[in-house]
Amino acid sequence: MVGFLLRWGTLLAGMWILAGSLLFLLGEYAPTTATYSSPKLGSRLLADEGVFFIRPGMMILLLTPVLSTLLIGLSSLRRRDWPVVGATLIIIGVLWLNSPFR
Amino acid sequence: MFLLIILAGTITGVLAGLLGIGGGVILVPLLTTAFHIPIHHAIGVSLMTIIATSSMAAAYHLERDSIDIRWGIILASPAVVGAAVGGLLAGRFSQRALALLFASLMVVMSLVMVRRLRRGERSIVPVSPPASAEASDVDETAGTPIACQELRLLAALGILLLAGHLSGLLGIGGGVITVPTLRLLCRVPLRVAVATAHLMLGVTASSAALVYQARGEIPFLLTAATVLGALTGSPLGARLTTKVRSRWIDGVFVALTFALAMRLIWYSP
Repeated sequence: MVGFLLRWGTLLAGMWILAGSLLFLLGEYAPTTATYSSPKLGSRLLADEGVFFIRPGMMILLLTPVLSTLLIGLSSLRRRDWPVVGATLIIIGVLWLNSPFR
Repeated sequence: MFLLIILAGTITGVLAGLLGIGGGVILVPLLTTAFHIPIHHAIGVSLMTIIATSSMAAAYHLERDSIDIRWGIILASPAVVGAAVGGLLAGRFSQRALALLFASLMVVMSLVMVRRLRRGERSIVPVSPPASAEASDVDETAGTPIACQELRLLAALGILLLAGHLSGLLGIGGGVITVPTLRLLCRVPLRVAVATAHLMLGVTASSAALVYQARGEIPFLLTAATVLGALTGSPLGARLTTKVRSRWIDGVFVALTFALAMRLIWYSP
């Protein structure tokens, strides 16, 4: 389950980042392919759209190891493996203190 | 520029895959000196790249049941604390001071590697086992309980706190410290140590990356380019390990590390 989360979390993040990067490249390097009336405005919008796609990709990437740690902690709680639960609480606590969602 | 940075990420990924390291030690000075990216931003980018590559590697090892999850999480806790403190401390350093600190670490690394090469050993203890070594390590049973005595465990926790601190401060994975610590102090078989280190590196890098993110030092486009490059390059590098002679790779890595260190010393941001 943890392996599945790590793999698919990273791949999902990678897909958002790839989509955003392609949009950005289309906007930056091929303005004439834009379908907007003004090519310059079109390319700018595409580039901004690219950044818009990259942002959630970065968040997913950043949260993937955090969620996997949380998952490990929860399964350890079920098994009453207290040293692992304690270590998980330390990790999640430190991550929470640094998190922008706090 | 964007495409060039993807290329830099790919080259770093290939080298990281070839050498079995995180790649931060190459990526940070490369971004700083070749692309004139502020070193704090380069470190933030490096941490995100480490998260991507180590998460994929950890997933691979988890599927093969070669990670000791229990000890991985217990030993990752001091590293996570150290990384957060390192990340916070990096914010207090000037660009020049951080560059000099990074360069010093690289010079020390180069000297240690040259000594090892002279003694006929591999220059670094790889974070990823070379593909050719996998078969010989297979008998080291996965999930072996770690016979960590109390003192050894305390020493390991202390060393991993330091490894995490370096990771947060300089944007390196810290695998070159984590793997030998697991091997020597916790008596973990190489295969399990390497696999467990990947799980630990991802969580540690996340802790520091959140600090850099809060300071706005993770530029999205730059990170996107390097993450894409590294995700493409590192599997390619791992495949090349069987085709290129290890002493030759080690020699190139030592030369590259030393050259980048010198460039970083003379580079004024």
